Amino acid sequence: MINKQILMIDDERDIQTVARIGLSMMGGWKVFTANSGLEGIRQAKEHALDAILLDVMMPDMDGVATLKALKADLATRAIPIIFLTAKSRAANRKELYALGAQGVIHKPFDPTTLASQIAGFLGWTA
Amino acid sequence: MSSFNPVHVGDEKVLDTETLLDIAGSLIVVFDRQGKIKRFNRACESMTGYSEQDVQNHCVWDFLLMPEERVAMQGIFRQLRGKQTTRYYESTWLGKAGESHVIAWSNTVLTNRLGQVEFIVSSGIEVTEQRRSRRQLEGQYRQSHLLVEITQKVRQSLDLQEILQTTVSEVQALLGCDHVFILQASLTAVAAPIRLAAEALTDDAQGPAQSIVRRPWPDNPLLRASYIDHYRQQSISVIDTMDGPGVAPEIVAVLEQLSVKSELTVPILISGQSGQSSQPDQAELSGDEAFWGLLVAHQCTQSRRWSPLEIDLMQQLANQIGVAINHAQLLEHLEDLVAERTAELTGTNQQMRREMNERIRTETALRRSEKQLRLITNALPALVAYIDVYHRYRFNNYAYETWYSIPYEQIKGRRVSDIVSLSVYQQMLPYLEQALSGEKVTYEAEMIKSSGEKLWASVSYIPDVQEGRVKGLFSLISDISDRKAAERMKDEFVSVVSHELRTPLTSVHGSLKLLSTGKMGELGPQGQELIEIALNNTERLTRLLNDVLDLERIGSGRFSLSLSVCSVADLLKSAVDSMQAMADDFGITLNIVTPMVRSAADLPRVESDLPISDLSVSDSSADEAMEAETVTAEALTVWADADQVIQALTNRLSNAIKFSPRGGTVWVHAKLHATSKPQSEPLSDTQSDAQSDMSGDKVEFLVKDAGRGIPSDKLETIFEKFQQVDTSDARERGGTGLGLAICREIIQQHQGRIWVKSVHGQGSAFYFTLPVPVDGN
Repeated sequence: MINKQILMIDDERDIQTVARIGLSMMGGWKVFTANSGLEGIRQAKEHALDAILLDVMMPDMDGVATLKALKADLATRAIPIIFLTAKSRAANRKELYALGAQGVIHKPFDPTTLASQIAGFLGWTA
Repeated sequence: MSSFNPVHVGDEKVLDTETLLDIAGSLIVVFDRQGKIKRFNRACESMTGYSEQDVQNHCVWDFLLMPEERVAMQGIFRQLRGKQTTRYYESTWLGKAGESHVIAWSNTVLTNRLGQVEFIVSSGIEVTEQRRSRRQLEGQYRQSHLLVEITQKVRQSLDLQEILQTTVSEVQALLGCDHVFILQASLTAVAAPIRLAAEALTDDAQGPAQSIVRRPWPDNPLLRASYIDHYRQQSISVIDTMDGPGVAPEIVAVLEQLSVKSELTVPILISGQSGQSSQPDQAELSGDEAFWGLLVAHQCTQSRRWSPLEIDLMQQLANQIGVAINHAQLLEHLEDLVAERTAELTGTNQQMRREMNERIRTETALRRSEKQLRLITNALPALVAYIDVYHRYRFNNYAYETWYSIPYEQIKGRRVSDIVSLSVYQQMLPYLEQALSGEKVTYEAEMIKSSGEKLWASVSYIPDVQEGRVKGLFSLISDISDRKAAERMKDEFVSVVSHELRTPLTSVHGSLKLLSTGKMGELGPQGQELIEIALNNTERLTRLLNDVLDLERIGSGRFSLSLSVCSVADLLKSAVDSMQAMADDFGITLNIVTPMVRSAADLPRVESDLPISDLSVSDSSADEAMEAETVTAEALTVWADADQVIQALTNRLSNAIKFSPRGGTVWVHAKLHATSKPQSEPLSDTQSDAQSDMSGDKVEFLVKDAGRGIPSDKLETIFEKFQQVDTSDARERGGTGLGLAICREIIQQHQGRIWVKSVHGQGSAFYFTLPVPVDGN
């Protein structure tokens, strides 16, 4: 699971940091971070990304709107998106999958197993 | 005779008058002008018994005439002397023996040369017999006439007493008796066996012929049974004199006591089945007769010879009285029937009147009740109405009027579709129909008031079921806009809390997790221990947060299941897969017993039905037993929300893992139940919600461990929130005490049932049921 480039879009910098350290430390991945949906869309076009970790609840442009924008853009449409959600475990899993997400990870997540969870969703093998 | 001159016609003596007088068959008497008898011919002597010498020179009124005629006769002679000829008259002579003779006379006066009346010649013919015959004929006529009158009266009159009284009065007058009466013999009464039915007395009756009424029973011998019984068997009794032949001494004693000289007694007979026969005349003809009483005539002044005519009259009158009595009794019977029928009709009438009154009272009470109901319901903020099966309003409160801005009078009796808007009607129609089919319905809907204001309303339709039939429904509509707003606020709050708590928890937990890896640099043993404590507690906090939010979400009633046909095998596999890591950590083997499909009629003993003592059965034996019963695995499905079922299963697996001894096994199993009843009642268990169990086919799930089990006193409360077998579990095993409460909510949402069988120290078996899809769902 090396040489993966991940974009983490979350308005919480602490969580960005934890995810970033976990993914780089445990998976050796490169992690870009964005504080908002708009910034995330912009960065998604700048980097060759293997996946985007997208927080659902964000101010201004939330995760669902961001996903729709990414899926609407040819440049970003193909990037797999995995939602991070603070909502209860089974609440809106189906809705999020229905939007086109490849996986849903609930907060609080385990940064030590985050990489393997993402790999599991996307079918990446070592 | 010398003083009597012969009859001259001029100077010539034409006939020897002596010879003429003696040979004449007629009565001839010659009087002088003073009325003294000069000649009294043989016919007169023969008739009276007096000789001519006896009567010569005596006036006729001296002894021959009846005393009452003497004055009149003197008047006649005065007229004759004055030549005022009385051509014809009748007089009654008394014979020497005292007998009377009625004689019809014609007179001739003889005058002297001076023209003065010298002699009066009377010639007569005795007409005693003719007069007697005439009187007899007249009596017969009167009797016949009386009989006809009484018969008509009997046939026409319905008043028996009047008939009886008429009879005795007429008989008394006709026969000239002193006392005529009718006695009625009672068949049953002991105290007064004889009753005086009617009586009549002569106007001047004094002394002997006293009214029976004046001498009542028992002093009056006529009212004693012995008197009437004497005549009971006789057809008729005629007593002319007390010393006559065949008069019974006891009767003589009675009659002499009352100074009765003559008695005529006729029994009155009636139809034997009187009062029951509807045809008294026929009963009379049939001879089937019974003694009713007596018709009695008494002569007290002197003894009397009862004539055959009189006897016949009495007999016929007694017959007519019998007929009259039969008629009267028939009438009485008819009157009884009429009275009975009248009583029935009166009763029916009264019953109807009572029912009408009751109805009026009920209606009044109903109106009063409705008025009171309106008063009470008018004070309620909710809309209250009664709607009948034709969707017509029968009742509504004031809130209804203000909601729709329509007065009560214009709502009552009108159809729902006339009052509410079309869109609202279409929205409520299926619920209305559901309630009118007998099912209570509650739903929430957004409604628009007449003012245009939008409101959220909770609508309840409660069917009014009377004698098994739905008569209508009670409609209760409450404005729940405030509640809806509160719910929205709560949702927002939960969402915010969820996010705002999880976010820092994610950072703290993530950081601790990364630190615990040692890749950031090794910590000392105490530092490592502190990291572990912090991690455990953040995880506990996370679980608690998750459980509280789940419970709130599922239990809020606003959570809707996402139902679909789910493979039971997939559900079990998903749950076990997600718990495999934990099981590995605890050194526990998770064993999925292959789902089984079996027929309801042939359900062998399976593990879920094992007695609690078998809960510690070894892995291999349980596996073999279950695998041997497997039919097919793939076909077993449930109608469920897969995520929710997996959550319930993982919750139970998590608990089973935590409480099993290291190296132990946790079994997961599911099987089909084709009936609604639990397959067997556990020995020691608790059923969380037996009422909500669905009927029909279902799948029974089982998660079983051989852990420490649950004490029996905890079985009842184990499904309640924050209930744990041991309070230290929260600390030592990271439990929140909400897991089973969440499971129960999830299963109940599926109309399923959840329960546990457990033996303390041997293990626990948690069961729940889910419905199988019906008609493809």
